[in-house]
Amino acid sequence: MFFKKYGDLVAGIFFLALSFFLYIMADALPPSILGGIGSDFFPKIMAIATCILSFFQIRSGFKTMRSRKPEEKEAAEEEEYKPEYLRVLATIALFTIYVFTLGPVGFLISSTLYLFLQIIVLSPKDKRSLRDIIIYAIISIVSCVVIYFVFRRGLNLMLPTGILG
Amino acid sequence: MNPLSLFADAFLGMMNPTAILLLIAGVAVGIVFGSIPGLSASMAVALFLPVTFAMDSHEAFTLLVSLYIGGISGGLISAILINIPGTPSSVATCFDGHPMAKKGQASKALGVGVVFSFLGGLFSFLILMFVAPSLAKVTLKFSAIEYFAVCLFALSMIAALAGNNMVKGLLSGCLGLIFSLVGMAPIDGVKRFTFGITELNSGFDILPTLIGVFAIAEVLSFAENVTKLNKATHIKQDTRIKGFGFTWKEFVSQKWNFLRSAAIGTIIGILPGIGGSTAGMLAYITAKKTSKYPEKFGTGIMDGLVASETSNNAVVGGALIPLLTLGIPGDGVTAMLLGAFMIHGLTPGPLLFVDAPDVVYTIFVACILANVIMLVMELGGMRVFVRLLNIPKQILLPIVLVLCTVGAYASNNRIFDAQSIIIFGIMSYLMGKVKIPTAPFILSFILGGLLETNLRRGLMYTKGSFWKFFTHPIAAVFIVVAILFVAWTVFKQIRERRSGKANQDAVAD
Amino acid sequence: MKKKLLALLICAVLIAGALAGCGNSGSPSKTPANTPGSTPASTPGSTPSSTSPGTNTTSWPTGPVSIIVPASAGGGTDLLARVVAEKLTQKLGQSFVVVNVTGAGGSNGISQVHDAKPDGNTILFFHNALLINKVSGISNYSYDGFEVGPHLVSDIATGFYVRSDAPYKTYSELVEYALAHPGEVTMGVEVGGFTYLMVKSFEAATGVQFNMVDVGSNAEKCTALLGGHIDIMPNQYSTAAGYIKSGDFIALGFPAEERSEVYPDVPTAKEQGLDWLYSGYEFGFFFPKGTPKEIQEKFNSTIKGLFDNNEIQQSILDLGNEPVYMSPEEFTEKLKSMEENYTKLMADVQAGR
Repeated sequence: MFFKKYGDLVAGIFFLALSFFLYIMADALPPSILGGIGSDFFPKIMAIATCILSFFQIRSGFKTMRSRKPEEKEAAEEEEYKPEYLRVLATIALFTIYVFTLGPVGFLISSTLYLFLQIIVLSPKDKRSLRDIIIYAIISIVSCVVIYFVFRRGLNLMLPTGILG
Repeated sequence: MNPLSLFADAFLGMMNPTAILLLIAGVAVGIVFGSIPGLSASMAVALFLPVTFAMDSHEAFTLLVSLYIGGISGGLISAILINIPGTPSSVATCFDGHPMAKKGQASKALGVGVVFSFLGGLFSFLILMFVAPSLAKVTLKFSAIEYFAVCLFALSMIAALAGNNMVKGLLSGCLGLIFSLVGMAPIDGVKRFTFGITELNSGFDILPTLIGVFAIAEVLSFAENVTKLNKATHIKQDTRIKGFGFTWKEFVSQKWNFLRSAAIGTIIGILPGIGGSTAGMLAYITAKKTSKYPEKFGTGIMDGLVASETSNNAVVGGALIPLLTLGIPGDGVTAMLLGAFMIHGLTPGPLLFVDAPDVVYTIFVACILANVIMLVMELGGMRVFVRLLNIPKQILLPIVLVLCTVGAYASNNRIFDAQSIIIFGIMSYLMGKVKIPTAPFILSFILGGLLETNLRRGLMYTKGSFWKFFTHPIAAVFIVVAILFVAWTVFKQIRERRSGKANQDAVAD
Repeated sequence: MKKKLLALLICAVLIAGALAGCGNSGSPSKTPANTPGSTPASTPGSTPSSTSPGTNTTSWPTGPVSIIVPASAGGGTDLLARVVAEKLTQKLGQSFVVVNVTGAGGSNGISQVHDAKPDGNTILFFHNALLINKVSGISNYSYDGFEVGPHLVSDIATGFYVRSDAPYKTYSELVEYALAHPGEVTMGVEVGGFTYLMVKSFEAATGVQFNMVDVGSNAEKCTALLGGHIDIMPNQYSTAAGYIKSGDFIALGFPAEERSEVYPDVPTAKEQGLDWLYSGYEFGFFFPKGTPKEIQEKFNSTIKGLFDNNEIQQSILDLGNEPVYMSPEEFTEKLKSMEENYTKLMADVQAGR
């Protein structure tokens, strides 16, 4: 799989790039009003440390890449179940939309919709009958309403109000 | 003013319906807050603080202390059951607690966690009651220089968390430190890496980070394997619990682990500003390093769980020591307790024992009683908790995520905190894919800010000279030990790799 | 599976009910104004039109109002806000809820109110840090980014404190010692904050030079002084009270015109012959720009009413602060002069280094 073969190498390159980025941004910071070491000191140290470590990582990444070749065929047979990246992406997308609509749309609607959709995304194919979907909808509505009341009325915690409240 | 008679008075004073009700309700609510990821013990205390203003001072502190104790211990429930720490203090509990649950030993894990939480708390309360004043003086010896040294020492322990791959572990640690840099720098307030986003001025909050790293990553890794898990046989949970879930022999085998972890927790509690999560992790790492079978840590053994839960509850008593003897708050919760003192007309400080001994002893009694109630409640609820595992994960996890989001929002009343969960979630998922451990990231993220702040403050004391740090004995010791520790671990790894290479050719994954 | 879920839901509802029961014991009024569809922003009567004094026709507040406190729960600012919030809830019939938004020197909370809808349901309660944030560059706006509300509390009990074993027990002794040992007396401050500028103004007034060390919050300063890591600290009396009582600390005096109402035994710097004045913490309310005048007036008159009827003074005194009412106009004047002072001090700092 991509990750197993190239993962280490990509990680190493990422960290190397990060360390450069870090150093450049740190350099642009103004010196401290009190003199002595400024706010650029720590970032620069971290940049240097990360840079050194990333070289080791890249080296080990090359090793992994080379050593993966003969084992590829075995691995492909082992994996009956491929990681379901579609579900992962859908989950990330759903959650992102959720936290960004939380403010404007409000807690109740956002959470209910999110919960409902997320449960469906995470359900295996054989658990998606009409009966199941209705159950999921009921669970979503009830849980969000309960959470809302416990926090808003019970604990006096303000939740984003948005449209409904 | 005989301490024993004061204690007896306070105890008798507690034996009335209101106080008992407050104890029970406080611990219960605390456990609920603690066990729900996203809600924490300090949130519980913050929410009920205004409610206590109208109460009598004894009742107020009874409630607040119960919330605190219930909250800190409740975190183990979700840590063990769903691999998401309920409160920051329970991060290290996930490392061995959840693997135990996966092996079908959830009841045992819960039993171990609860009993040792109780014992850890008890240990620190006994120290609080009998040794407090002299220990509190220790707090005073720690200036920024000593704190820097302690943080450096704690960070050096990352080398131990790195596991087999040192480079990846250290990279993870660096990443955590880098993330902790975001926001206004300490002392001169220069905005770093905020890209103009005003909400980032205060940096990333710890709660969204933990939620992202644990909760989101857990959900994403579940999402990856839904079909596979659906077909796999459901692991039967061993619910035939005898007593606490573990044998007397197992209990005794943990005695040194317990004492050591309780001491670590109490000491870290005494030093203001460090916190329960660091305590849990340090105790875990120490247990692993001094164990005869370190490779078993992380696969689900009792030792790791004992270390983490003992020390994070011991922090409670430890944090109360500087608060009650010197009026110095040790963490967010004790700072709120300070406010509670002021509202009730009490002046916290060295004279609190003299001015209001009844309140102080009420707090002692409340600690002990709340601890007992916590033990009873959690043990009694164990069966219910384990049943929670029967809720299909595709329903349980999203509900937990919604609660986490609420918690992240509620921790500082900002949507941004809920939004920043995504960054850490995706990052943690990717780290998992390339097998970079997340534990070092968390430890360094928590300690990064403290490290830099104390380094710069320390340099102000010594007028810019780092070498003068070594004239402070406590600091010198910690710094030297930190350096030696890292060096030793690195050399050991290189030696192991050299001898390993002689045996096998290909590099294992 | 269904049965277990049902059981769980019932438990959740029970817990919700129980929490609702005990959580509500503190707030007296829970009007059914939270029905869906009637958000406060859409209430008629909150149009920004001017009204003649005495005929305030606004129906605000029609729902819960958030008082944002950019400091943590249990701290001095927070406690003051809660005292007022309780009174306002009683007077105006809607719940005034204190919301803590901490971080970035208070600018997290400040910017939240700044960007909030100007419907009167978000109010800021804060002090001089609002100005100092602008002066030190953390924030882009100061009190001028808001509609200034009434001033509530003054805390002039901020001065310098030393340990009881220090070789100086009065300001004149301090100045004498410090001039003889420049850069040796270690002063613990929070760089860029209120205490920092306070020390700078002292240095400017006396020509003394301290060795400044950042030690953090007011509570941390006490710890550092107690531990002997610093020689002297600027702080609020209420934070240091416990140690003054126990004899560990001595208060040198307040840089105010007159002695404090709350701590009349502490001398002023002026009395000791030192020409050094520095305003203390001035707490007041702020509205987002564009908040209708009627709402502001109603709020202001309610606060003034609390003062006139002597309903709030004692609670504030109990917290170690002085209740001082100032109208928005008077408060704005005060803020203006404070900000000018801070700007000058900060400019000197930046030039001097």
